[in-house]
Amino acid sequence: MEPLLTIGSLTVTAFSVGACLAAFAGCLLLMALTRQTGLDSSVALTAMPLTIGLGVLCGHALYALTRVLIYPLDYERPLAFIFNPALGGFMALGVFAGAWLACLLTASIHHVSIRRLWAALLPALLLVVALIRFCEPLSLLGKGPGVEGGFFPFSYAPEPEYPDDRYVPEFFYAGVYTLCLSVMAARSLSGKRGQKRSALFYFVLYLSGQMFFEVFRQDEYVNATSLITFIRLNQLFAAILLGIIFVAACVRCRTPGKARLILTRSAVLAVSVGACVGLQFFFKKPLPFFGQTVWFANWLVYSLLALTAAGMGWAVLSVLRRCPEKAIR
Amino acid sequence: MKRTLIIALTVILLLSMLVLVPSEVSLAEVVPIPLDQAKMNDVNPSFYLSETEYQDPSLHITMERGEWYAPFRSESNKYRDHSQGETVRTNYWVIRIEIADASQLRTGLAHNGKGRENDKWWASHVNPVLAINGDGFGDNFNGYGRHIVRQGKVIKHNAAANNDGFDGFDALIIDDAGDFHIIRRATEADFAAFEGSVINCFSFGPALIVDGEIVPDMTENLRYRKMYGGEIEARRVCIAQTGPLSYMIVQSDGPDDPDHTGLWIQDFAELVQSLGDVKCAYNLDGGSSVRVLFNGKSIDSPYPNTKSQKRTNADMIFFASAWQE
Repeated sequence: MEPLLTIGSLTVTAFSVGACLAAFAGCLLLMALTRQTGLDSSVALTAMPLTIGLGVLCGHALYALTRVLIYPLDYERPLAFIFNPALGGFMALGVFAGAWLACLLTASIHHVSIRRLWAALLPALLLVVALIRFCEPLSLLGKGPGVEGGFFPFSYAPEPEYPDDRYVPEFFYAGVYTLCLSVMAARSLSGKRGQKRSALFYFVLYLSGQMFFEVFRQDEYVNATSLITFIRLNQLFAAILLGIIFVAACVRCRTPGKARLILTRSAVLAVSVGACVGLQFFFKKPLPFFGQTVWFANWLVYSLLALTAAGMGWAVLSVLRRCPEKAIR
Repeated sequence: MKRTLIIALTVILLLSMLVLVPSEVSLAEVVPIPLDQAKMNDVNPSFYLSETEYQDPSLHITMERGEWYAPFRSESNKYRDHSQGETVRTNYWVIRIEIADASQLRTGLAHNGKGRENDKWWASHVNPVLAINGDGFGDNFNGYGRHIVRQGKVIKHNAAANNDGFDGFDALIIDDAGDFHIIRRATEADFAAFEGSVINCFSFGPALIVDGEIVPDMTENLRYRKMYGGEIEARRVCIAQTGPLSYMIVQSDGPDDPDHTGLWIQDFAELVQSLGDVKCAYNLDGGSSVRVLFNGKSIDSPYPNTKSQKRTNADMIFFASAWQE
């Protein structure tokens, strides 16, 4: 893909312009939401540069770390990309981690509640992630499998010269989902209930959404096919984070019948994760079934995968719901 | 003042995203491979989709195994299959290749044409995605070939080549657009008259298919026929063009391989023609020289102890990725 502008060794692409505009939109939303959460605008002003800087840094660091850890055995690549984000990529979960660090720093600088600031920051972050997802085709990313028979709405042709080669728009589905979460998280700030757990609630929904939407994704971006053939790295990280949140919630949960609650939700979580992994083997493969060879329709596998993602989210959220208000930050 | 500084810092950081977030994939592109580049760049291993398929934005390779029943030729052939009538069975590979740039179809020589090397050497020194043996360049270096070109470099041109009593070999010229041009019984005048840019020229053959039709008289000359073993059951391999930047390689098993027979050249041409819309096809060095490397490993025979698995090769034709991340 041709760069829009080259200044020396620096390159500006349509995708980077989109990412920049998305970050700008996130800044505007953050300004509005800090006021809504009763924080001073100076808090937002501090949070913005810190979030941009640490978000880019951590997003790239996580990407570089995974590439270095996973690919060195079989993929020689100049290591310059580690120290130059322009040569490498980003992972959204790294951006969230950077934003969390920025939140901690800002809160300590201004002596404000971390929970309150994170509640304002998360919708803005989700907005940025959603808008960048919409920009992904500019970077040849976010492409799902080829459409055969028109089951998927909004299919698109990434290469104009081949209008008949249509693909599932994974970037669009994930972008719309993340945008909805951003809107809901922002709206929930006006309600008393939302301020209690809104950020973590919507973050868990984001993670379980990742578990599902990544299934569609076909591009090779941070795809650990050389190490793990049945799951993408984003799914793996999302599953790990869901597990950590679940364990933390279980430890701090104080409710009658806690043991039973944890047992049932753990079972649901384990079955959902297992099914999510197992179902990936059902695509385009014949499977023995009582002596017969059967092919599972893709729509059925996708539907079951959506159920597993929902199961994961429900298991975590149902434990979180029973935690004391200040137990989880 | 402090507020203005923070806003300025935010704006600078936002603008810095323009150059910090181009995304590696956005910068990845098909880059023609220099003519003289001997070793190909490493490819992302995830582009190998399976044991029989490779795909990146610049190169797509698929391989299929098939069976072909050729007319029964020899009374002593123990692989004669009576259930199929008067035919014998031969297994084959058909490999279909699509490239984005003509520079991805290349040739390589072992030690500048002065030696032969094994699979491991070819995999490590050339690093192709897919490679097949050439036309026995080393054997022809001082022998019969009239005009041999590799990667734009004339390796041999002998206007007065001793063709041992017949007019000349069939020649395959690959031009800078990756198009095949077959010259039957190529003479000095034919090479001089060729107006295109010659990137590779092979001088052995014979041509199997020209303009979509099987060459009718490929076995007419007895000496030529004997040289390429036209009427023996042998392992064979050919390269064919099926369209612009689209190619096909067919490799049939031979008597080296247990439970397989081999094909006469005429039968091999019929097999090739049956496999698709072949514009032209050119036979390469056969027998134990046949070699097909995919992802650095030989796939031409499932029997590693056969003679062919031990033979080295002087030259290879290969396909490389032009996708640069």
